[in-house]
Amino acid sequence: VSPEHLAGHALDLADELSAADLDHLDGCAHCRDELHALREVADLGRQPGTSRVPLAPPSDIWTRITTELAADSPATTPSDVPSAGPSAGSSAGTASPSTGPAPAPSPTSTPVPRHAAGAVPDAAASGDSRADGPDGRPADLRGYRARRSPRRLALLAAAVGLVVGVAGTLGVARALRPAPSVPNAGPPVEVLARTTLTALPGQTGTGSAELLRTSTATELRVRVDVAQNANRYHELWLINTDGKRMYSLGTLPASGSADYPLPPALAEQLQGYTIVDVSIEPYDGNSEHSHHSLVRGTLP
Amino acid sequence: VHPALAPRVLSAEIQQLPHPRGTILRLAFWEGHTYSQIAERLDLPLGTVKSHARRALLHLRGRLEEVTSWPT
Repeated sequence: VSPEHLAGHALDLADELSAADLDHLDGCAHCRDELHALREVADLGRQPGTSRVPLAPPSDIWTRITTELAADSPATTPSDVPSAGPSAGSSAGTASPSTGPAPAPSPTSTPVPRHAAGAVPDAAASGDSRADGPDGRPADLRGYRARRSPRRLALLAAAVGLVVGVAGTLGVARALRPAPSVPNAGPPVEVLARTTLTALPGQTGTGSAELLRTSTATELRVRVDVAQNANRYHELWLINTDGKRMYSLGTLPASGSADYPLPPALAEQLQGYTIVDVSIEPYDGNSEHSHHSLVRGTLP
Repeated sequence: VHPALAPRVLSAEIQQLPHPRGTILRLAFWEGHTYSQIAERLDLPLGTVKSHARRALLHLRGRLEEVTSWPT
């Protein structure tokens, strides 16, 4: 079976396979696999869930994030700092509400965080047997480290962990606090659909179009980059997918950027007028489309 | 990646497909066009449309596999 036939059948079930093709499929695992793979994607593509509208996150996403963070943040207010013991060092960066009062640090019983112990692996073995020199300085470095380092390191690690954890959490909380107001801050503009405008064969140019709903109107916001021509101008069209009907939304300024209000009848439903088209028009006084399009895109 | 995201990934991918592949898939998926309608509208031979559709579908499948193999 030709790969095109398989793809045809996968995408368009009306595009039936011949009896001979079906026979072949029965005996050919390779073709069966390909058909299966194509079918899977095609079925998924046809699902209503495969929406045509670009993916806007749910509007309450920031509220949910900040609510979740707010639930955690009281555990790391500065008043809690003194109660966090050495174990806080192992949970740097996270709020740690379960951290209890610090165990009294004693040379024999202080729990040593793993990474502190790891830094001085010989600490326990070397014990406390070495005496300081007469000037109070350690008899040798090894002994010094053995006696003092685990505890100091543990406390240091705890302190660093706390600072990082508290600062991090406070910083994140602070950064997020104004966020809930952001979605309401701008003018209420809803993007209903968008598309990129691409050059038609043999033409050059790029652009984008967004279908926007403001509180007062439905507008098409267009950004187009096409070559300028002193003897021509550009015009923006909404062409029906039936390929027969179209509306002119107006001329395109040389900047290539403009917002066009839609005719009221299309404001609610595009009714098939989904092809955004930029034409180049001669100054001939003829209001019809020149049949010379430069870039085009289809609103989903 | 959660399976529920697959359709969204797919729709994003479909929208990014260049012409004519993207157009072909959009017409087929979202406008319910048959191949012959698509071929007529785009003024392309039927075989060319199908060949584009096949490549587009395989591309999408590859992208879906990439995405679904990400750890969640």
